[in-house]
Formats: sequence, C-alpha cells, structure tokens
Amino acid sequence: MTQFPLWIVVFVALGIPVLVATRWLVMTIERRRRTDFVNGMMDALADRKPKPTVKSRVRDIARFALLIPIWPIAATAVIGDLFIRTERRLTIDRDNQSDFIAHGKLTRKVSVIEAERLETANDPRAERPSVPFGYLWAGWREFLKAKEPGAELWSFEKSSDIDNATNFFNRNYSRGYAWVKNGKILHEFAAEGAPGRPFGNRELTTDRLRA
Amino acid sequence: MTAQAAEILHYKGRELALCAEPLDLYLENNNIRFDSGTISTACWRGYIGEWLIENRRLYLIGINNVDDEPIPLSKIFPDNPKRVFAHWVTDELRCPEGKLLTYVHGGYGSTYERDLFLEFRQGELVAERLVYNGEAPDPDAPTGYAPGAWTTMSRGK
Repeated sequence: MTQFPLWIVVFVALGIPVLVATRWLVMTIERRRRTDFVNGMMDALADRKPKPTVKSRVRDIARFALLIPIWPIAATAVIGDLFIRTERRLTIDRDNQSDFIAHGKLTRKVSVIEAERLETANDPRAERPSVPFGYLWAGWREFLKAKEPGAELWSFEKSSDIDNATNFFNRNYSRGYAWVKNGKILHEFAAEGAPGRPFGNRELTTDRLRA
Repeated sequence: MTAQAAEILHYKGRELALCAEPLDLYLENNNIRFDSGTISTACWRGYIGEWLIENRRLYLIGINNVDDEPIPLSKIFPDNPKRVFAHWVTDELRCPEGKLLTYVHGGYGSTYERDLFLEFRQGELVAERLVYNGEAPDPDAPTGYAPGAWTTMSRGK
C-alpha cells in the first residue's frame, strides 16, 4: 500500500514522454506523407495564423494533463487514427488530383489583378496582343468565369517525366494558374508550357551520342 | 496505339517534320476540338499545324484538318491574324531527319539518323543543337519522319 504513490509517479513519468513522443511521431509522419503541394498549402496557411495567447497555451497544457492518467489508451488511439486517416487521404488524393499531386507544385497565392499584371508583356515587334496572356486572353476570361465561391487563385508549376508511358498526352512542363478550394485544384489554366510530346524521347538520342 | 503524324515546320528554307504539338496548350485553354468528317488513328489531335521560324520566332501559319482541308486561322484566333506568334511555347522541340533507325508504332517514338532540337523560351528560339543517332544499316531504309500504318474512319453524323 505504501508503494502506491511510487507507482503513480512511475506511471506519470512514463506517460509524459510517451505522449510527447507520440505527438512528435504523428506530426513527423503526417508531414512526410503529405505531398509538397499540401505541405506548401499548410505552411502558407500557418503564416496567416494568429500567435497563440496565454489562455490558449494554458488550455493546451490542461488538455495534455487530462490525457496523462489514460496515456496508454490515448497513445494507442492516436497512432491507430493516424494510419486510418492516412489510408483515407491517400484514396482521396488518387481519386481527385493524382496527376497534379505527382507532378505539380502550387507556388503562391495571387490576385487576378496581380496575375494579369505579371502576364502582360510589352512586345517590341507588336506581334503579341497587348492584353494579359496575349493570345490566351479569351481562355483566361473563361477560366475566371469558372471560379467557385470561396476558391483562391494560386500560381502553379508542373513538370513530369517525359519517358513515363502514363504521360502519353501530358506536357512535360507547364506554368499557370489554378483555382484552389479546400486544398483541391478545381480548374487549371496553363499560361506557358511545353507542347504535348507523346513518347518524344529526346534523352534516348542524346545518350546514344554519348555512348 | 499508332505513330502520330508530325506537324510541319519551315526553317532556314527547309520543310521539317516537327514531332511536337505546340498548339495543344492554346486549344486546351480555349476548349477547342477539331472534328472533321474523318478520324485518323495517326492524327488523334485532328489537325496538322504548319509552323514557321522567322527572325528567331515561332509562328503558326496554317492548319489543315485530317482530310487535308485548310482551317482558317480566324476560326481559332479571334483577332484574325495572318500568322500567330506562339508566345506560350517554352520547350525544346524535336525535328527528326535522315533515314529511319528504329520504328516505334506509338506517338513520336521512332528514331532517325539525326534529331534537330530547337529550344524556345516564350516563343523565341534561344538555342538549337543537332544530335547524330547513328547511320542506318539498310541503305533502303525510309527517309524522313512518317507513321508506318494507320486506320481512317468516317465520323458518324
């Protein structure tokens, strides 16, 4: 009976590092399993988050303290949930935007005005229409009409492996703009890029020359 | 899968086979598709563009449909230009030349004795290089890029 307080101390002493390690493990695995696209979005959103107040810090510590008495259950539940959520997320990624996830990167959020200013070029030979995006202006106007409520405009860059057989009709490089809502790419507009080149294997010929 | 018909490129007084589709990005952005009376498995895109490099710039100067009928540029470009500066093209384009070395019946996969690579930045020619892939062992090997076989079908009305 006299040893009961000692067991409590041992239980708590084990629980605190296990919970901290579990939290670190979950954050690390989640970040590694996210795509660059999602991490980029999370970082961009984190910059806009307000700094934590003293009240919110106290609340976080209190929540953590409540978990200590049940730390074996809490740690098991958190790790189990991590794997269940990972499976679910991977399925969503594959279904909705596997091509963008594999090859694309959202670079930054921009306004329509800024995008149009960036894409206006002064052509000394006056062969490019003086409107933003030049000959692509009509396509850009259609793209703007496709905006859904709450969607944000982001610039993107995409590149993919031209030797990949699944890339039959894709460009190996493009740059442009995308409507993004809740982390999903809704519509894309390519402002510049490489033409489709099904099986145009330029490296094969270069390697032969070197050999 | 079938080898695809190349685009036509006029450069330094020569007519080259251009194994790339520089118009693709424009058509996709404007949701334009070419539907002529014929479908050809050697030209799934439904058109063959004719291009010109002049003063180190890439221009679209004509388009023909699969039936080899000209499509007016004004039908696709609202400003009704006689030629279109392809400022959206940033890539190295490939023009195979010489005799056939290896035939691949898909896309633009066949290898020829030489490849002329032309590098463009926003439609401006910035570099070119000629790569020698070898000499055809067969003196009667076909010269110049062309799909080997294809099927044409009439589109139902």
